[in-house]
Amino acid sequence: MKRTIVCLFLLAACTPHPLSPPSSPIGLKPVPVNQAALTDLDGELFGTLVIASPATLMTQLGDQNAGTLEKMLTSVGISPKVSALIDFDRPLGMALLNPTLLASPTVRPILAMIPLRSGSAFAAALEAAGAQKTQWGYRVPTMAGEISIGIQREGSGDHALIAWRSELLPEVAHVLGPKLRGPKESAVTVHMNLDNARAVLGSQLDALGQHVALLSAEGARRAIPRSRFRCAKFWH
Amino acid sequence: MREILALIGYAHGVSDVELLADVDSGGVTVTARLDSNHGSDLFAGPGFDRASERSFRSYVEQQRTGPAWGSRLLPRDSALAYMTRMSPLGRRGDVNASMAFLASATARPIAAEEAMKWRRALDRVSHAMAEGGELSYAVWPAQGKGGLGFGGAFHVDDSTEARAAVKAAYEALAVPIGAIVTRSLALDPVRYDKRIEVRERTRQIAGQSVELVEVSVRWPSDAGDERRVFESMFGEKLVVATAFVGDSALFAMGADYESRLTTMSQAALGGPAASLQDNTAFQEALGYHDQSRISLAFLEMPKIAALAGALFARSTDLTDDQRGALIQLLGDVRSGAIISTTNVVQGQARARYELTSHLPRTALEGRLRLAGALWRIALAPVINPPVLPPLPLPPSQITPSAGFSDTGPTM
Repeated sequence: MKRTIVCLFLLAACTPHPLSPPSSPIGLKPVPVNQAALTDLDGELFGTLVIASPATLMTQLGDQNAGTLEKMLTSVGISPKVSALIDFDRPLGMALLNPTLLASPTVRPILAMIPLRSGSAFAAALEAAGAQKTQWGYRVPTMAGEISIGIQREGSGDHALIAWRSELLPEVAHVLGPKLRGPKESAVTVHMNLDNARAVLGSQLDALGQHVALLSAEGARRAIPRSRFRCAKFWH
Repeated sequence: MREILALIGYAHGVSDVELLADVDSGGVTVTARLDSNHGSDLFAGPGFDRASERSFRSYVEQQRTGPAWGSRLLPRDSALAYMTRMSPLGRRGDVNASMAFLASATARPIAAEEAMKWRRALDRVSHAMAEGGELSYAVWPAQGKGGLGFGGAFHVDDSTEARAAVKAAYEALAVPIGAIVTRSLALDPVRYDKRIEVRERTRQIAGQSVELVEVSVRWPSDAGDERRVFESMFGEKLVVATAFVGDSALFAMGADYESRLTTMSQAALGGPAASLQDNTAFQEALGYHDQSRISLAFLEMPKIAALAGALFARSTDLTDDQRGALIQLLGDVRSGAIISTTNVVQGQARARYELTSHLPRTALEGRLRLAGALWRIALAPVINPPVLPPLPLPPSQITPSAGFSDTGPTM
C-alpha cells in the first residue's frame, strides 16, 4: 500500500498539443472556473483517487513511525520543509486525465489536491525552496518535470492545487473539490470513468476484455491449474 | 470464472468502476463496484452505448436479492459456506457452462444426440428450482470417518417434479459424472475411462426417500497412491445423496452423508438442529446489506486450514520434517472469518453490481501468502458457484491430487 501511494505520485504521460497560456490566475484568491475548459476536461477525466485521511490510513496499516509520509515525499524530491506543511489528517485527492493528450516526458496527466496546514506558510516555503512565483501560483521543478502549484484558501481549510500545466489548475478544484468535501464512504476510493476511457482506449479495452474472456472460457473447457494446498508452497 | 465471464459480457454497459478499501481494527474490507449511472442520454459520456447500458441494467434488474436462504440447514462445523440466489440469466449460463465442462471432462467425443440429452436434463433441473433461485452450499469435515464432506440445499417449487428432474439428470449424466471425478482427482482419464462405475439408486434415510449416486473405482493393482487419495477423502465410494423435504432439496456428499442428511432433514422439517446460524460471526455477516444481497460466502480460516491440512496428511506420506512444517503452518492460521458478498442496487438512474470482501486483521497478521491462499478459497464459490444437479466435485483448492497431472476441475 505504501508503495502504491508513492507510485501514484509518480504516474506518467505526455502531450503533443500546444496548450493556451494560463487564463485563471490563482494566488491566494478563490479559484475562478473556466466553463469551456471544464466541459473539455469532463470528457478527459479517466479516474480519481481519494484518501480520506492519509495519516489515519498509515496508522491502520500498522505504520507507527511519525513522519513516514513526509519521508516518502522527500524520496520523490519534495522538500521536507514543504511536505511538513501538508495536513495528512484531511482528505487528499488525485485525478488521472486522458494520458494520450499529454505526450511529453516532462508532463504527467495528473491533477492533485493536497490539504495544507497553512496556505500562507506553504507559499512561503515554496518561495524559500526556490519556486518561481507567477501571477497564478508557483512553478516548481521536480524530478518528474516542472509542476504548477496554486493555493486555494477556503473555510474548510487550505489546499495546494497541482497540475503539470498551469491552465489546468482551475479544473483541479472543480474535479477534486467536491470529492474531498463530500462524505467519505471508505478510507480509500478509486473511481474510474469507463465511458471516457472507452472513448479513447476502446479497442485496447475490448481486446483486454476478450483476452480475459478467452482465458476464462479456455480454462473452463480444459481445466485450469488448481491451487492445491501444498505445505511445500509455504515452507519458504 | 463464470461470474467474471458474465460480467465481461456486459462491460460495455458499465459507465463507472469504483474500488473502495477500508482498514480498521477489524481488518480490511475491499469493494469492487460496477455502475451504470445513465438515467438519460444527457449524462452519457463519449464512449456510451445505449443498447449495452440497457443490457447491463437488465442483467442487474433480473438478479434475485434478499436474505440468505438455507443457512439453517448447513452444519454447525462448516468450514466454508455459500448462499446465493441464482438469477434466470445466471441459471441459463450455468447450464451452458455445465455442458462445456462435462463435455471437456469426457475423454471421448460426444454425439450431438447425447449432448442434447444432457442439456435437456440440466435444463429440467434448472427449471425445477424455485423462482427465487435460492441455493446454499457448505464444505465440512466428514465426522468420524475423516475426509471431506460437502453439500447444501436448493429451493424447489414442486418437490415431486424436482425429484424426477434430479433422478433423470443423474441417469443422463452417468458417463460425464465418472469423468469429472477422474478429473477432480487428477487421475489418468485414459487409464480410468472404463474403471469408474456410476450407479443410481433410491434408499431410505431417516424416513426420507433419498436419491443416491454412487461413484466407485475398480483400482488397478499398482494404483495404491491414487486409491489412498480417493479413500482418504470419501471412503470406498463417493456418494451424492439428495433428499426432498418440503420445498427444499437437500444434498450431501462424502463419507458421513447419511448423518449429515439426517440432520439437515430434521432442520428442514422444523426440528432443532445445530446449524451454522449458531455461529456469531456468521450471524453478523448475515446482516450485511441483506436486502440487496445476491450471495454470501463465509470461510472460517482455522477450520478450512485444519480440513485441508488433514486431507493432505491423510493422503500423503509425510516425512517428520514435512509433518512438522504442516503443523507449524496450521498454527499460523489465526481465528477469524473471510466474508465475501455480491450485491446489487437498482434505481431509476442507476444500476450497480458490487463485490465486497472482508479479511479479518488476524489474516493479515500471519503470513500474507497464506492469507492470499485462504482468500482465493473464500472467493471460489462467489466466482464459480456450485451447479445443479449437485455434482461430485470436491472444492479444487483443498483437494489433494492423485498425481497424474497438475490440473483439476473448475467450472
